[in-house]
Amino acid sequence: MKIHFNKLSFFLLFLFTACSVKLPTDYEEKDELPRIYPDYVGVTIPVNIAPLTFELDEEADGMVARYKAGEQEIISADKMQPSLKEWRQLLSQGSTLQVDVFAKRGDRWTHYRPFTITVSPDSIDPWLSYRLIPPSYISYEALTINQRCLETYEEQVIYDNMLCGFEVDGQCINCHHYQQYNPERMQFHARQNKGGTVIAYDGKLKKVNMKNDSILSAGVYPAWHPWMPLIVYSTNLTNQSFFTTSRDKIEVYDSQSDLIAYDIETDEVTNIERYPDELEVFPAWSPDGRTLYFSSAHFTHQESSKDLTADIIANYDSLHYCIYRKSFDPETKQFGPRELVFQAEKGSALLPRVSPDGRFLLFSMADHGVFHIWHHDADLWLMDLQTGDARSLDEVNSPDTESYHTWSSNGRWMVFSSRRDDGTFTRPFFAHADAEGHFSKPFELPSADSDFHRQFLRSYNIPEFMHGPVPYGPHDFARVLKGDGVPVNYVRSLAP
Amino acid sequence: MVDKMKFLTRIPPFALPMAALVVIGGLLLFFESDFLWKLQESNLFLCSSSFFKDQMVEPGGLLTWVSTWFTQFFFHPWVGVLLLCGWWLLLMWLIKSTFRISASWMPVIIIPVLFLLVTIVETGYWVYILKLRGHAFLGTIGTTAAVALLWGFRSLVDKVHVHQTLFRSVFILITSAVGYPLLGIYGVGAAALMSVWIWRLEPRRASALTVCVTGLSGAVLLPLLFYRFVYYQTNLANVFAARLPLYVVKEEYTIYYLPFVLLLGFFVVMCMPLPSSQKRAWKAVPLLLLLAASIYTGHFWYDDENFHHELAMQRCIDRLDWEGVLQEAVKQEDEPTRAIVMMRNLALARLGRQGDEMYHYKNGCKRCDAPFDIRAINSVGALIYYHYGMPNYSYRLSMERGVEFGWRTEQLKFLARCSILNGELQLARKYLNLLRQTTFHRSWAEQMLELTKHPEDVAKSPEMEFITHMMHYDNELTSDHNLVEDFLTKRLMYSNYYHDPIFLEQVMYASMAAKNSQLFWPHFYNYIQFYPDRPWPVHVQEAVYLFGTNEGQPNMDKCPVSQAVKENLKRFNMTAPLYEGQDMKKVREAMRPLFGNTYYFDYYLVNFPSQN
Repeated sequence: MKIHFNKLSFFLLFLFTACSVKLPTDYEEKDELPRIYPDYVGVTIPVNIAPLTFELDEEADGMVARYKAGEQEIISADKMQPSLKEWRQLLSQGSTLQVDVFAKRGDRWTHYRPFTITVSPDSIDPWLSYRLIPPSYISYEALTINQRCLETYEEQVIYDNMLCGFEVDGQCINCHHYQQYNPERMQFHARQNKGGTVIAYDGKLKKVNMKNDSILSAGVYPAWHPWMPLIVYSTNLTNQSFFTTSRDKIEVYDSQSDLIAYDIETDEVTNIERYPDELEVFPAWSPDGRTLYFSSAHFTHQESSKDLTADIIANYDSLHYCIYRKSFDPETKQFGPRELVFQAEKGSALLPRVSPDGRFLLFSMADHGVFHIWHHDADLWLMDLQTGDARSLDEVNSPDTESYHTWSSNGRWMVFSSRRDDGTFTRPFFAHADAEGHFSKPFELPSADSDFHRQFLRSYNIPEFMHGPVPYGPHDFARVLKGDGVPVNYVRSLAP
Repeated sequence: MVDKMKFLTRIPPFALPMAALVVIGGLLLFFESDFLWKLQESNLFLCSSSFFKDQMVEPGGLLTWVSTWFTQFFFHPWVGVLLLCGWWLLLMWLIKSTFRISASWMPVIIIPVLFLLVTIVETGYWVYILKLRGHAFLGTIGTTAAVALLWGFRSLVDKVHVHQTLFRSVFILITSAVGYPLLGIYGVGAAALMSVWIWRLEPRRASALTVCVTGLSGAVLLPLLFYRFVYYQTNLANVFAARLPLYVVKEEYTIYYLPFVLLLGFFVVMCMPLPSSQKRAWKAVPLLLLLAASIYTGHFWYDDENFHHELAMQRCIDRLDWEGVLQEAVKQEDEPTRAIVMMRNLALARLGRQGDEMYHYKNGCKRCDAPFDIRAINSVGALIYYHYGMPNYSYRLSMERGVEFGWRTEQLKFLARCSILNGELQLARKYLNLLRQTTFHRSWAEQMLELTKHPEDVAKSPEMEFITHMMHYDNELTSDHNLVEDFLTKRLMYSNYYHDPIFLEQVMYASMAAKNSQLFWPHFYNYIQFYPDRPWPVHVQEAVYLFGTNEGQPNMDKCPVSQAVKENLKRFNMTAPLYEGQDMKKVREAMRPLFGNTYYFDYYLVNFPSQN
């Protein structure tokens, strides 16, 4: 028996020594930065972010990497995968992480030029929600709205469409949105089977049937007023067609669209922009709740045309959206006339988002059209609302698609959707912003396994920051959706 | 007579089930080899933790995971059949042991295997749309696991003699509680069968009633509890059908569930006392039951000719065996589907023989023999778009189908191929790296990965060279409206690109297929610029002579069209008036032996509706 114990202790000792990774001592220096995935070379990260895992993105027989800050270091082999505890200790050491990467080829080691990761004291909102959807074009099956803790890898399902959809009676879900990052004030839409808009508002859930003869369609893209029980939506008649050879395989377009305002407490709805020659979309509030931003394209249908969709298809590349704003009086609930904010010389500006300090307007730009997630040339732009100057965010953009974006609640971080990894699957990226509107190199949402996003066959759609997790479960939303929706009452004005 | 009886008693009791397996395995390999290959193409097993986790988000996830692992072996159909027969052998042995089947009732243990066989061979066109990975093995492994649980229950009954009611009730509840997440409905089914079986195993009625009520309550309530607190991806309507195939398109096709119902019925009967077949009247019953099950199996064995030709052609195309496609086309007896015609023409194009032979094979547009609407776009749409140089549409179709019906190996392969053709190399690597996690498609993926490292070799690769010649379509914003052939024909015939003879040849054939002489002439003149010294293909000569004559063009007699082609048209024009006013179908049949292999016949007598 004693012998057995000795054998066991030797085995454990062997295992322990075998598992404790050491840096190679005999290696050659290479004056090149390593290619790693995700690309965390030289990025700035928030102090409360989950551990960054990475792997070598070039052919090698092995990799050893080290994070070092002050006296703390983490050394991993094959993949850099720090534990949460190690990572927290490391980040507590200072504002810079030094990263060393060694690659093994045959029996020779190469040490790449070390790089740093800057740890910003500006924290990021702890939760992020998004819809997980395969990058398909017409079909859909299982869709979920998920929430992810950015401080760990914890992920939860907020709602799964399979709870209310079955085979031919499928259900699509989209446009989750919050009032000022508040997870207790949330809305999303369900389409087709058991369709309606679900609104969570301070402990109550309700389903709203927003279809009404006086408005173009049920609400689509939402903008929740910063403090009032009021949501502005665009209403859209959306179609899509497919390119035979273009790298942009699809074009999504609206043949008609307007803006409406909906009062959550009275269930009243009214049109706020309804022009036959204007295609309005993507409303967004300024943080003070006194200005509504939106995009709009001028398009005149041919008088002879009976098919509005065919009309748009024939002129799809002439659809150029500009950014407008309207004043809003919270007392009277009255909107002012539209006012041009930004018009590109050649391009289509969409998804205006005002920074929490009210100074900057972030938006996405591409050559034409309304649905930039399918445009490979889509980039993020920033406008200084004090000076009116606008510029492409070259420090953030990639050669591929950058689209849906939003500010963190403290205004120091931005999350945006990018297809830079492979041109098709959207991943959330984060970039630090200083008070003057300068952004750092963005970094991809960290995963427990660095290879996860390369294997994952779904896109992250509409990343939205939240102060905490949504307190409702999938079945809570399913129960509401299975019931009847509250009909909206159309009024000429929401004024009291 | 005595010697004969002695001989019969010397036959091991398992000889009949073994012989049955040999016959079933042989039949599967002989008749369904292409179908089995297609099953694994429609399957996906990835050797990764994330794939395992993906399966476990639904009840019965472990069963799916194991079944997908086995299904991949149909890549070599004989290996898959061997494994399937191995499972069936295990199942029969378990049934015999669990229910203590006597030698005289041994034939009945083959019956559930036949029902499971039907669940596979009745599939037909469902293979393109069935949302159940690992289907071929899933029923078999699920049933085997359920019988193994029943065997455990019997052992408990036999060996535990204290607190019997309590232990049995707990065992059944555990069966549901553990079986449902791991095996889906098969775990719950085992618990339900135990609840029935206890009436046979337990003479004390009160105890049997307690165990039965506990078991049935658990089988009903536990899945509902799992639905409420564990699984979000399962609809309430599917809670008690977890890991059963769903035969639903726009409506439900309940007849396909019959083998599952019969399977359940078989086990319910097995849980009841079987009469002794020592009595003379009962002796023949096991064999009669087996005979009835065999007849049922034969009746529901899907044997549509077109379906099998389509699969065989797809398999040949996957191997780039173009001659194999034509050999399959020669075997055609029934009117072919458009999918068959398109694949055959593709093979002819790849072999450079389309202009001389495309009307030498059976033509047609027979609807697929399926109870639901399935078209060429569902079966071969991605394949046809890819090979005809439309990677955008092939990609889109593969993506849509992957999303709707679950990711399959063949879709990932097409997504990778299309991404390579489109120059989206990082995207191609994503799909190829996934395929590298498979057992049988790894080497293919690694070959393709080499292409992503050397994209300059794409135009030289045996598979893609022809396709790169086809990628000259105008860029249009449009939609195919699920009509692959119609869409391709129109894109080709209206094309203005005339710098590539391979593409131009297809453009010319498309305008011939559309019977549009106005579009044919410019394409034809562009085409012959490339081959000034080569004789025109026979069917092109027919088109030239037909259109020229119809349009009254001068000097048609001097046109370099063979005398045989000219004579043929004259004969056609003399014969056709004889059938004036008659039903077109009859005219077609009458004239086919004389002119069936000419363009004239196609031009005048064939008019297929745009449904493909």
